[in-house]
Amino acid sequence: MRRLPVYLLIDTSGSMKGEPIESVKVGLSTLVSSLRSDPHAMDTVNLSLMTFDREVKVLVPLSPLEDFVLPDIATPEAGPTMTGLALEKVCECVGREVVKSTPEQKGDWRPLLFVMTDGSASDVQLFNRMVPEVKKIGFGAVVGCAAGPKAKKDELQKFCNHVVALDTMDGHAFQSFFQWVSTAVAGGNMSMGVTSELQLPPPPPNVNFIS
Amino acid sequence: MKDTSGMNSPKPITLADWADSVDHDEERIRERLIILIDHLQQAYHSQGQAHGNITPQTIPWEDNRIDADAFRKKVEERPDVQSPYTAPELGENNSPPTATILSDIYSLSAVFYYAVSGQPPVKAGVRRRCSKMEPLFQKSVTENTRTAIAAGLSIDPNARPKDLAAFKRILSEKPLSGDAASTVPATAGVATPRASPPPTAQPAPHPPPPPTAPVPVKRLPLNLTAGQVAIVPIGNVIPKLGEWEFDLGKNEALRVEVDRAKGEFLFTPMQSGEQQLELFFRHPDLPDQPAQPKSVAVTVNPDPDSLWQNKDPDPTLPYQKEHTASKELVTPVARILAASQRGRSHAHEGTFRDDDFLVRYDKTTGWHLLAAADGAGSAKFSRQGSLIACEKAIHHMEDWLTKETVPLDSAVEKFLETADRDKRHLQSPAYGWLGGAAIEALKAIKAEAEHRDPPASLRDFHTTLLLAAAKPTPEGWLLLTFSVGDGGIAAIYGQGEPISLCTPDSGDFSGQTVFLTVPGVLRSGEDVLKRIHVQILPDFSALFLMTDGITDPKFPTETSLKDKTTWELFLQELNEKVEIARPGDSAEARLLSWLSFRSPGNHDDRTIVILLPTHSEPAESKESSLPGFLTRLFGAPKKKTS
Repeated sequence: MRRLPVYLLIDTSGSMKGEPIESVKVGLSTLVSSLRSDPHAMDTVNLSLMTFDREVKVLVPLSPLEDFVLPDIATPEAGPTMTGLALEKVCECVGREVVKSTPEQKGDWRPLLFVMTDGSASDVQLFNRMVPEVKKIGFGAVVGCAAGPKAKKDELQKFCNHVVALDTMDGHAFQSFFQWVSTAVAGGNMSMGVTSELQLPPPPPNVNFIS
Repeated sequence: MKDTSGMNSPKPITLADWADSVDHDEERIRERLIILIDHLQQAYHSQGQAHGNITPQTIPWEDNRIDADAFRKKVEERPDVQSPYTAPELGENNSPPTATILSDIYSLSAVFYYAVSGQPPVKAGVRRRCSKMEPLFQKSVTENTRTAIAAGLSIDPNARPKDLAAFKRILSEKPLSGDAASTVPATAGVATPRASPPPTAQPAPHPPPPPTAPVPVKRLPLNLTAGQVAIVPIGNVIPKLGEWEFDLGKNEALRVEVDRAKGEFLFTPMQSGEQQLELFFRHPDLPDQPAQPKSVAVTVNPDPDSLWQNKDPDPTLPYQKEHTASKELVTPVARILAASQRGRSHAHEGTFRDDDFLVRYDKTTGWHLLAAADGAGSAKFSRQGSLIACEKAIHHMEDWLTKETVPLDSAVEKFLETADRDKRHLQSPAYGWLGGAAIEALKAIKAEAEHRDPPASLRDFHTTLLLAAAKPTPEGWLLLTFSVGDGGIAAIYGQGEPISLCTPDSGDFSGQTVFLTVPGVLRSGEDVLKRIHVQILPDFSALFLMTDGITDPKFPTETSLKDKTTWELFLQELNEKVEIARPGDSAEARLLSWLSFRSPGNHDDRTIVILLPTHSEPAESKESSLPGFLTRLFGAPKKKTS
């Protein structure tokens, strides 16, 4: 059966430690339970959760929504933010996990990618090299979330086709963001043009639409 | 060289016997499995064939290798689709029960599971109710074994290793060091309890009773679904139970029973949400000690069926449309049945049906004109796009017939006169007629978009379009078709041979398609011509136009739309559920109600238009109807009871 693959990429660098990461966890569990209340999503959505700080971890490889178990998310004390490495990992996983259509086999729905960061890439060279690679995948949507004042929005704009910003990094802001992600995901399993992008729902008031 | 040891043992040793005899020793099992993989590869898969009947009981061992002759004989025995070793897709309604390399890989993985753990991965019969296999091991196994089995047991054949080489690679890959191991148990599907001890942590033969109760896993390694029974081995919840006994806390929402003889928990969760499995541990040697409570978190998914809602769209929105439509049109030579139904996903969200259809019969010329269209779910006025597309295209075709009959007739004549049925004679009029109809439809949609206040974009009206014109000639039925977008047009002729009459428009991923309303799709004459199909079918028995709401579940790939077996199953279902041949009453209503069939993940609008030739039946009679091949397949139509 065709799946709707959804990749969530979360920045876990040192600055996320404490309240921000705890809020993200609550947000993620809202996202999962909100998707579980949508029968169409239950049939199709497959989630993958990755984190990136000084290294990239696939916490949950692409798995059906019904089997998804939210893991513990750890943050190091300090260190670089390997955004480029994370994008490389996403491309590798999509290439391996997502099924494309052929005359003999039905492909998955177009994959979606959500990236959340509160800073900027430390591995600029690799990051720049990965930007065109991410575009090549053919994601239905790549959504960037710039959390807090230090997040570099223009960096996200390089590879995302939509960028939203959270002014604060509290529980309420993350909750709103992930709730919005769940409505965006719900639109991913319907027909669209070969080249057109997923049309996103309007974000809630405390999530600012940048582009 | 074959030795004579076989003569000594009348009953051949099977893999099952052997695995039992070595006490399911993983290391030894793996060696043998590699031999089996190599044999399977050499004897079957390298020739593109599958074995199809691989179970622990059908793998005959002779010394340290497979008895090739006996193994080959097993191919001829029909595999039991209820067996826990048979891939689930082989038992599904819509797939031909033919083994494939991927189904072999499933069986192989199930056999491997048995060999390692001593039991099949699922109970026979239970499997069909689960959407996913849960490889849960009672004992600790290596990462490679677990990964290979989990991948091989994927319900989705495409999620399995693509061939034996890939399977073998997973088995023999060096386990990743460091964090990689910790990434695996996060998904329930491949999880063994995180608390599984390494094999070195063996307790002494008779240890004194430990002072504290065993520690169960924090969370059940798989998620449950409300209303669905799930069996979980006790060892997966309490890895080191030892001599300890336990009672269960009462929980009406979770409903757990313990089958101590089989060593299993039996869950019948009644409510969805986060729940707790409460365990109270007692030790028989410490009867005076109070029971020690522990709890395990359990996630219960809601039953998807209970979540569907049925909402009406906002009545103030423009372009209101009925949720269903159906039509029967009886002509002197054919019967046309059409039905269209709002998809479950649209009903859930309170949006309109985006599909549409229109069927006409032109008495003067004898042409049957059929159209079906599917508005894009992501476009806000697509319901009107599909309506305009059908209406405008059919009207153009009717108009055209009043003006251009002469060139069409002479083209048909020329076409029939040529010995090899040269389709080029018909290309030019078909281009002007069907291609022209599509272009007119596009123009009308453009006009509608511009006419709106404020003006809308053409993409708000995105729709596909399937068109067909059909007419009997002395040489057989002549079919002209045009298609843009997904869905499908196909005809049945001869002894149930299907023929696809559409141009596939799919992209790399599901749901990616081309719309009539995408700029440039009909830019050049060539763009239009490649979408036109011309066919004459002497033994014609049915023509189908279907939107993707039907082709996705019933004909998921381009290949399946041309596959005879897939069609046989489809026609059989249609005949049983719709009883097209039943005389007297409204077959179109039955066709409509059939459109509500369940298919996981397929909840789009569904539209089907069927043309069935009735040859020389009188126009007013409805009790004819199973033509040519269909009659042969399903028997004569039932007599009307008066």
